[in-house]
Parts: sequence; structure tokens; C-alpha cells
Amino acid sequence: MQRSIVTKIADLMQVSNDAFLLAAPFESEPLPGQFVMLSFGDGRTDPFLPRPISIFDWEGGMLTLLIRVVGRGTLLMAHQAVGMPVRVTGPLGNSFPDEAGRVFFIGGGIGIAPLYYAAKRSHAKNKAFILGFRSAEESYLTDDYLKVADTHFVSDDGSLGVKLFPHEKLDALVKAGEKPDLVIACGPEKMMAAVHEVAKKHGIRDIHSLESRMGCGIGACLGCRVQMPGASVLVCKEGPVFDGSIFEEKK
Amino acid sequence: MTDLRVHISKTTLKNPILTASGTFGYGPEFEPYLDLNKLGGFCTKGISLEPRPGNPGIRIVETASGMLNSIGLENCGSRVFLDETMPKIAHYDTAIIVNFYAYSEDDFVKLAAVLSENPRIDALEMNLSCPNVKQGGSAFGADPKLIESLTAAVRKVTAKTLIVKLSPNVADITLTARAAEAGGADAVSLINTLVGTAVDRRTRRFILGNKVGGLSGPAIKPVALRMVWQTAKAVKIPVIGMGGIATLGDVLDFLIVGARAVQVGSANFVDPGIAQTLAEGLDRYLAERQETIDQLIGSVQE
Ligand SMILES: Cc1cc2nc3c(=O)[nH]c(=O)nc-3n(C[C@H](O)[C@H](O)[C@H](O)COP(=O)(O)OP(=O)(O)OC[C@H]3O[C@@H](n4cnc5c(N)ncnc54)[C@H](O)[C@@H]3O)c2cc1C
Ligand SMILES: Cc1cc2nc3c(=O)[nH]c(=O)nc-3n(C[C@H](O)[C@H](O)[C@H](O)COP(=O)(O)O)c2cc1C
Ligand code: FES
Repeated sequence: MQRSIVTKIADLMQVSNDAFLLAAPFESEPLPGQFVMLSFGDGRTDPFLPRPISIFDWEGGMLTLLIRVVGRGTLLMAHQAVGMPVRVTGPLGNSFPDEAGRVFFIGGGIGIAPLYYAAKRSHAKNKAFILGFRSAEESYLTDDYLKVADTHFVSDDGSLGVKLFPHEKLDALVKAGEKPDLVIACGPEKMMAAVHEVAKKHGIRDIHSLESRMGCGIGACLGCRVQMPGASVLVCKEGPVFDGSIFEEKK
Repeated sequence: MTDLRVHISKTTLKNPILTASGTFGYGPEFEPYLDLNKLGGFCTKGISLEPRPGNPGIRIVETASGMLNSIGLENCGSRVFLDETMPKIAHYDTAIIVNFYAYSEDDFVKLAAVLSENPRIDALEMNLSCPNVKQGGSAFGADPKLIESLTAAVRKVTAKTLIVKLSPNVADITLTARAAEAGGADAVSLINTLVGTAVDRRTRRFILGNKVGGLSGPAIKPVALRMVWQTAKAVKIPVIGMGGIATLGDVLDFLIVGARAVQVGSANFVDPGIAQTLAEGLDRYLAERQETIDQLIGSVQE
């Protein structure tokens, strides 16, 4: 059930230079791939709009978000403290498909956020992460991901795992005989488009979580519409999860 | 429970809390968060004769205590609205106010006539003021003569309660309000968004795909409150106030300066249940003070 409530921060933990976990009680059980709109629950009007944030984890009524500080809103949120109110609206949007066979969860940077819960809840017999970071220093939660599934780390400078891009790692794994039935990707748009190319080449079904600036997250403001090569989409309502064909020019 | 009913011409609202066009979807989007039957009514997204795709590029920028939008009046068009959307919202026990716009007087009249055939629609809100669309819209909203003749033309084809929504992007809003009244409007609603812009100083580009957009949210409230106050003194027809309403205090302020009803806009994005909370808050406020809604409206001391 969707709801919009003011709840209190139960835990706030820095996990790297610029990323933190925020936990708060939230009763509605989300589906993997869904997101919430998060704002300050104290009535302040600046920052005004809520921020779309993926579900990193949900367990027994406790919602956890993994947030990277990129601007003013996320910075102020990082400076909140346990016990302070936040407004959470959700769970929103569609969800990742489940698949029984082999599934790869591919994330770049903060794009790894929705993959933890997705892999945890997945019924795949064989699941693995491909997680890309800029460097070992800028990585986070690597042990937590390792607990959920086999994890292939890649980094831009080779300081963590191998020096490859996530889509190159996917290609290498397929060539080594580990072709998945499904890949689920989240990260910078360039990364997702590259993952799509590799998946398409090998005939693998690929699913992606898109980002867009949002006003409401519930389909009311029409602010989140983006023109993708394949279609014009209202990300909060039709997504945020889309088939890889969205990266292909419509003929 | 206090009697919160207010009258906008022949339309009776069960309370003065409405939601503003473009911030409340077509209604059902908010069902998980509030009981629509507890609202005085809601205004739909602006409808045009034909469907419109809206503006490309970034459509929303947050600003200090507010936001800029350049949605560009994206909507499903009158046919889909009447055939598919109306049946889904007709059952709500609350006023349905259809916001509409066009690019020519002919189309305004045609659209008003088509919408008027639907018996469930309680009122029409004519949007003269959206700053996003390059042709038509904004020009209508600034010229009192045009507003009067356009209102009169639309008046001829509709028996529905006709609300003219005014743009704040004018030198004197009482002139445009009086023009709407002279043309036969049953009420005026204000304010629509204020034209603004934002740049990305790093790339030195405009952030919005459309370069300019409409400013809304708490940042515009003092301007809106002043304009509603002036307008309420200048016309005899009811004034529906809006602009930056986010708390019960804001609702009270607009009613005190003379608004007969109010619309909650961008605040719906922050708390999708806020409109019901405000209606209940107003009920409690009046009950505690043993004051009637009519005593509250226009009670500002000058
Ligand atoms: C469906 C979805 C899921 C997301 N999940 C996560 C997550 O799990 N963890 C996480 O750290 N981030 C996530 N993001 C991105 C996150 O919403 C932005 O980083 C955040 O809104 C930035 O806010 P700010 O105030 O710090 O930045 P500012 O740049 O100061 O924000 C200004 C405005 O721009 C918007 N904005 C800025 N960057 C983005 C962006 N990349 N995407 C969307 N809107 C943006 C803000 O919401 C705000 O309205 C997600 C985005 C979407 C659409
Ligand atoms: C995203 C968005 C879309 C809007 N679309 C419309 C519209 O279609 N027609 C209209 O008359 N006003 C539209 N408005 C203006 C609002 O109805 C309202 O007049 C304005 O936002 C001021 O109120 P607020 O500060 O409470 O948001 C829109 C506003 C926003 C923020
Ligand atoms: S964010 Fe408002 S419609 Fe998608």
C-alpha cells in the first residue's frame, strides 16, 4: 500500500566520503526496483521538493536508503541526525522482473543502490553482481553486497577488482560461458546504454532503472517526462524500470 | 463539524479547499493519500481540444522555497478526457472543475461548448495565464479587452460555473479581474505562476528546456496574497485564491483577505495528502473559535 508519512530517522551511517545509509520505519513492503520520495518532515519549505530515492533495503518494516551527496538536498539530509523527522512517500513506480535462471545485477556508482534489495529478493538460481566504482577509495558497502551474491568488482583505475567498465565485464563473463538469462542495470545512462548493446549482441533480456528530475513521483506533475531514443516516457509512472529497447532509436 | 460550505455562483463547495490545476493530475493519482470526497473540489490538469505533448528537455527546477516548471500544458486532449478520464472520476462526491485552454477565441469557445455537454462537470476554469506556451495563452492573459470579449464569447456557450484564472504577469491584476467580471465570469481564480528562469552557471545554459518557466510554491505567497486582496476589493464576484499555500496558516491568510475558496498547488508534490489535512484543520480552527466560514472570509482589518 502506498502512503505518505512522517517517520523518524532510526539510523544514519556514513559509508564513504560522499555516501550514507538512512534507515527509518516504513510499513509498506516495497517491490524490488521501486523508489520513494524523501523530504524533510519538519515543515521546512527550503529545500522544497522531495527527492526520488531507490529502495536499498526493506526488512520487517524498516526501510533503508543509500544516498550519495550530490547537491544541497542530499547534503542537508546527510547532516540530519537519528530521531529527526523525514517524510517518505511510496513505494512508487514499477518493479524489476523476477527470473528463475541466471541473473546479473549491474550497477555503476550510486546506481548500485536498488540492486541490493533486488538481488536479495530475487529467486534466481544463479545470481551475481557486477559493480563498478571509480576507485577502491570511492567504493562502499562491498562486503554487504558480497553477502548477498557473488560480486565482480570493476573500477576505472583498477584499484578495486579489474580495470574494466561494467559492460565490458558482462561481455567477458558471457564469453567465458556464463551467459545470464536476464541483466538488471542501474547507473549512469551511458553505462546502461553500453550494457544494452552488449546484452543485445548476445541476445540477453536487459532491464534498466532510469533517472529523471521529479516533482511529485506519483504521476501528477508531468515533470519527469524524458525523451529516450526509443520513446517518450513519464519515468515515475511508467517506470522507473524499462526494457533495454528504450535505448534504441525507434524506426 | 462546522458548516464549511461556500458558494461559487451556483456551485456549492462542501469546503473552501480545492486543489490547483496541474498539481493534482486528473484526481485518481491521489487516492492512496487522501479521500477526495473530503475536499471542496479539484481542478484537473489543463485540457486542450487536441492532445499536447508538452515541452521537451528538463521541465522542473527547484528554487528557494519553490519551483519553476515548464511542462508546457501536456495533456490528453478533450476527447480522451471526456471519454476515458471523466468516467473514472465522475463518482467522486466533490466538485470537478475542469481547467481548459486554447490558442484562439474560436477554440476556447469550441472547447467550452464540448466540455459543457458533460453533466458531471461542475465548473470550468479558463486558463488565460500559463506562461509556458509561446502562442496564444499568455497574450490573452495580459490584455483586459481580449479577456472581456473572450469571457463573453465563452459565457454564451456555457451554463456551467465559469471561473477565469488570472495571470500575475501583468501590471495591475484588478484590471484583468474586472475585465473577466465584465465579460460574465462567475468567479476569478489567481494567481497562476510567475514567469522566471534559472541558469546552470557551470555550463552557462538555461536549465529548463523551454528556457523560462512558471514559479510556484511558498516563495510566491506574499505576491499572491497581495493580488488576491486587491482583487477581492475590486470585483463583486467570488475570488479563489492560490499561490504558495502549504499550511493551515496560509489557507487562513487567503480567506482573511477575501478569498471565497483556495487552491492548493505545488504543496501536493511534497505531501500528497495535504489538501485533506488542510480541510480538517480549517474545520477545527473554526470550531474552536466558534466562528463561521463567512465571518472568516474577508475579515482583514484595514
Ligand atoms: C527513480 C530514482 C531513483 C533514485 N535513487 C537514488 C538512490 O537510491 N540514491 C541516490 O543517492 N540517488 C538516487 N537518485 C538520484 C537522486 O534523486 C538525486 O541525486 C537527488 O535528487 C539530488 O538532490 P540534491 O538536492 O542533492 O541535488 P541538487 O542538484 O541540489 O537538486 C536540485 C534538484 O534537481 C534534482 N536532481 C538533481 N540530480 C538528480 C538526479 N540525478 N536524478 C533526479 N533528480 C535530480 C533534485 O531532485 C532537485 O529537485 C534517484 C533518482 C531517481 C529518479
Ligand atoms: C507543475 C505545474 C503545472 C501546472 N499546470 C497548470 C495548468 O495546466 N493550468 C493552470 O491553469 N495552472 C497550472 N499550474 C499553476 C497552478 O495551478 C497554480 O496556479 C500555481 O502553481 C500557484 O500555486 P502554488 O504556488 O500553490 O503551486 C501549474 C503549476 C505547476 C507547479
Ligand atoms: S514526477 Fe511528477 S509526474 Fe513524474
